[in-house]
Amino acid sequence: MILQIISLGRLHPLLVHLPIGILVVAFLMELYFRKKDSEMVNHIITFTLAVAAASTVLSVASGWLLGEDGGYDGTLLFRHRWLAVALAIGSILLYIIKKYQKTWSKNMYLPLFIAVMGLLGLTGHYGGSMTHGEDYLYNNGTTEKVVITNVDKALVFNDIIMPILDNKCTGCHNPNKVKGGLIMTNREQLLKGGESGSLLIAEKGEAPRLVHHIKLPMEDEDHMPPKGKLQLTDQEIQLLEWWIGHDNCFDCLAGTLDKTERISDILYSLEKDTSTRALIAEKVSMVPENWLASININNPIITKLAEKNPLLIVNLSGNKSVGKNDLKALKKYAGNIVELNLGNTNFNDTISSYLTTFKNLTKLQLQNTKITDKSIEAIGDLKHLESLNIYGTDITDQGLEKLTSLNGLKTLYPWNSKISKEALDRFSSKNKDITIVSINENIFSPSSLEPPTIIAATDFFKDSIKVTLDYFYKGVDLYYTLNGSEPDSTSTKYKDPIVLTNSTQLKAVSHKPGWELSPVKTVSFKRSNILPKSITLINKPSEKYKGNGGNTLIDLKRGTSNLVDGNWIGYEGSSFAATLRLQKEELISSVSVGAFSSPEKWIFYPIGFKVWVSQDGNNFKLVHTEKVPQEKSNSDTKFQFFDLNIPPTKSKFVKVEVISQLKNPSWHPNPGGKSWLFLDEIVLN
Amino acid sequence: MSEKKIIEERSLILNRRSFLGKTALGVGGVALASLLGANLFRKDENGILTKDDGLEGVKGILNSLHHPAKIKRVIYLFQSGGPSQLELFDYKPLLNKRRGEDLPESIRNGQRLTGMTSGQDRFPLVGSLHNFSQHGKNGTYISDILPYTAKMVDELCIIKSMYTEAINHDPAVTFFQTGSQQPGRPSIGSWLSYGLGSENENLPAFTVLLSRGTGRPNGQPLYTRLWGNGFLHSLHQGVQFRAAKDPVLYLNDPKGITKEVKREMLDNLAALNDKHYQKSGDPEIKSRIAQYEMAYRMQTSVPNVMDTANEPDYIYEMYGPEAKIPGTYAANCLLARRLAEQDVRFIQLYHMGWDQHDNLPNAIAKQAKDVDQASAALVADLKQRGLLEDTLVIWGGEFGRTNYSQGLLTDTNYGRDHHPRSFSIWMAGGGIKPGIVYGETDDFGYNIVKDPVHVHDFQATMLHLLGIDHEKLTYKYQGRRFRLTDVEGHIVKDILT
Repeated sequence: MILQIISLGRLHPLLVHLPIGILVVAFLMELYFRKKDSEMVNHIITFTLAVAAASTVLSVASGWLLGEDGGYDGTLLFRHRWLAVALAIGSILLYIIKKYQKTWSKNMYLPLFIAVMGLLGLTGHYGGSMTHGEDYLYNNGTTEKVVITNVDKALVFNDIIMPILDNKCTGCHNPNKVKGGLIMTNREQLLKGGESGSLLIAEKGEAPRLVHHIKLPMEDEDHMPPKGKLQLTDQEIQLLEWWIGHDNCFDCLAGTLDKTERISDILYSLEKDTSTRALIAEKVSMVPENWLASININNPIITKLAEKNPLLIVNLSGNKSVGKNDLKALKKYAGNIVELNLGNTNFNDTISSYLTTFKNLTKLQLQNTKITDKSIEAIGDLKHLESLNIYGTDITDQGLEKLTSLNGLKTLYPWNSKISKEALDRFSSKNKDITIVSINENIFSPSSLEPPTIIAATDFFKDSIKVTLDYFYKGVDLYYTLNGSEPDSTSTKYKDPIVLTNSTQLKAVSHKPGWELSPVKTVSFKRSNILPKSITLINKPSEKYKGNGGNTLIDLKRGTSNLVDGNWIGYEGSSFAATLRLQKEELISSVSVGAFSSPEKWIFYPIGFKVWVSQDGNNFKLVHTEKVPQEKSNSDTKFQFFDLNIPPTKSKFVKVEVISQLKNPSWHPNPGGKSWLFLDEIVLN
Repeated sequence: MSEKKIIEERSLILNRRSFLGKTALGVGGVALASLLGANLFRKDENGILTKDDGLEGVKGILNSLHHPAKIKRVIYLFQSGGPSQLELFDYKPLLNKRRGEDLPESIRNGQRLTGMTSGQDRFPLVGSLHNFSQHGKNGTYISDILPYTAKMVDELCIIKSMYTEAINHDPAVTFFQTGSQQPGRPSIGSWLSYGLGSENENLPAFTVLLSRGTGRPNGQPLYTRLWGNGFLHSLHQGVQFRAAKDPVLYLNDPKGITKEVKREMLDNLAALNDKHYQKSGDPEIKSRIAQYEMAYRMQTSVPNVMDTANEPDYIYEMYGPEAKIPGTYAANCLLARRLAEQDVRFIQLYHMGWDQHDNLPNAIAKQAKDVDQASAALVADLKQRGLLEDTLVIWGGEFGRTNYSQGLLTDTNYGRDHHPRSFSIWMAGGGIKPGIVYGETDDFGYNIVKDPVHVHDFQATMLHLLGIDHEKLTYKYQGRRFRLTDVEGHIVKDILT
């Protein structure tokens, strides 16, 4: 029974609004119909007053019970309670006077009504002060709100925890309404705790009372905040736990406490974005999707910064037919546009005045446009501008000076404009906050010359061949030799393509006054007069690298570093031998063998050669033996022709043996492994 | 329009068709159909209802970004083969001091090996033969074989604590590119094309450039599926630009075909395709029509991008002499900048040849020379043009290399095997803190001791910079919502500005 009465008390917040509304209506009716007295109206007002009196009594009764619950500021409760009682008596009196009108009482009626209205206001005010706090009326709500701009520097208690308590707890736990004997409005009271004991210190193996009550199931009587009140969010609970976990430190900075990834995420989400864009976003309204669609009808040029964000980005870059109509079309929501890219467009001084429409731009890109200093006026009006790109424009030193009016400017891209270095230095010394983006050109000035490129259709030729030399940069001279000697700046200077008629080793270098000579580039060009008719391989090449069989060696094609290009034949752990048959008997004076070496791939140059000649293909005469020293430790990939000069002999058959070193040398990472021999061509002259 | 809507539309088309066919109710049927498919129709300028094909390949599925983006595009300089962090960025003098000693088991801690070193009975530690020196405002150690990168170090964020789950090339590259070790998922660029669409209607949102390194010229090959669209629409696949007369294969018209003839042919073809589409409702047909149109526009836009003849000499001086030779890494870096200027969203470079199992000291020096100057020049060039503030440049491979020698360790030679537990990459550009080093490995350069970054973390961070919540960009396929970061991925907040 007692419980039910108390729950009637809980109805007080609902009931109190009835007398307020009804009394006000009765009062207004009384005023309005004062001069148009009629029976009907009097009946209505009397009825209304009756309902008002009844609801007032009900409210007082429920309020009395609620007040017995405790936890309210004594003074406020006293005033509210007894003013309410007076109000109840007043409203009953009003009803009686109205109902049983007497002449003596007629004069009292209106003054009493006015007094009751006054009581109503006062009672309501004290009631409101008890639930919402005494300063509720005078506090506009924003002054006290903590704005966190850098969460690492925020005070954990003052800036993060206290706002949570203020929002969710202090409504009932304040000096005016001390529910459970607990006040949560300041540090001392929090440490003191409430009737049941300490708030922040864990007892009996339970979580500290603050967290414990919050985490109780909603059905539990002790759950806080009580059912129906605004509950704490998961994030807020985690922040409270985190704070209590750090000994409820009252003076710590958020940046100095350990935190999990989850907590840092929550903390970052508390940071208020105070960037220029965020401030602009607060001032402008959302843009309708159909307007965006109407602008993007042909080309997607306008995009929202993000979902639920009113700001816009316009990208017209590369469009060579930007006209004023394109810019006018954007006027309706120009204030929403914070970024405008006009780079590489036909934008110029004649339409630059339209820029002032876009007064909230924070980033403007005008690179590679035809604008000059004349457009700077319009740019200077863009007070929010933070990044300006004018690279490749005709803006000069004078234009730069005028940019000082842009107070918020942070980044300027002036590369390749008409602004002198001196002017930029002056500007940057005066405007320390502006980053003038440039790169140190010295980083990329070439530190050494590269050898020239030698370009020719083929490495083999029959009568003559044209060879061209080239270099990447201008102002570099190329020198070359054809006799095998090392070229330098006293050798033949390259002018026109070189025509070679004999087998030649071409060596070339690049030279620039004041620079060191480049490394030497060498290419061998082989004249091949005698084309063999056929070739017979005496031992077979490896299955993997068999090219086009023996013909690979007489097709006048050089191999590349790609060993499976079909121009190489390879032998693993064995030497090479083959017989070449000529069309007819010829005078032979040299045999050249093209080979490849790349020790990291277990491929080495040959270590020796043997050449036989024959007229009939049966009787061969050994005419040349040559030994080549084994390669020293290296890992370069390289090609070489081995020229074997033999005593000039008339013959129709030539037998060549190319001797492999068979095994990797001792300096190799895998000594003793089977080494490879790779050949691409045999040329007879 | 989203893929989901396309499928919806397809089923509606079929419904409408069968409904009309069966009932022949004419007007009533049309009215019902438009009721069912109300969101598939829009009014054109004259107020006439038209069907929204939405498959032009220009608009992405995301109507707007999840949060404001820091960057608009990505240039991913993929170093294929697994560059050795120990010779490039992760300076470990202890390895030189303890050269030849065995890798302690306490450090290896059960790490699996590849088939290439599992047979080795010893794992001799080996330090870099190339020296390191300090550079930039923070005195960051960079290898001497990266002199240009070293000079740009104040622009870079070097992450020394990347790790992956794969230990062999193909799964590892696939993991980086698609978020899964198994083939079949869309590549990063395809996800972006799907999510954001193309900002330049004349170029694809996802372009690919390949080059071969000199360090191991015939090393690991790459497969086109690495820039494939997976289960996404085929119009989202990467378009490879080759260093040849035809940069994009089959793009140019045969001899004797004029522009007008071509246009007429495409219009007629589109009409035929559309007819077939009306019949079958297969969205791939729409995709094909869109691709023909894109190809037509690319006939003009691609030659413009690829024609670097007008680049001034000082630009070639920046990127290095090789930038003049088509198909080299340097030339590709220059093209990457040109594509970035054209608002291409995802520009993927691959430079092959980092797989130095043997002869590492020599080969890596050559390989580093391939990429050093051009990578640094790309960052600098983007910066002076104002592009770096909304571009993310990433330099990195699929995994790192072991701190012990593969094969025989000699005074001048050693090799390194694959190492997934720790390796280094760098990033530069919008939203990334410049001039910092993030993460740390132990003194052996084997395990991460601070701030590990998983491949999915890397992908989540990249998407975050682009304004995308990596958990929200999904595609439903075979009954499951797939995303680039699979079921993981944390944004690496500490490297963000």
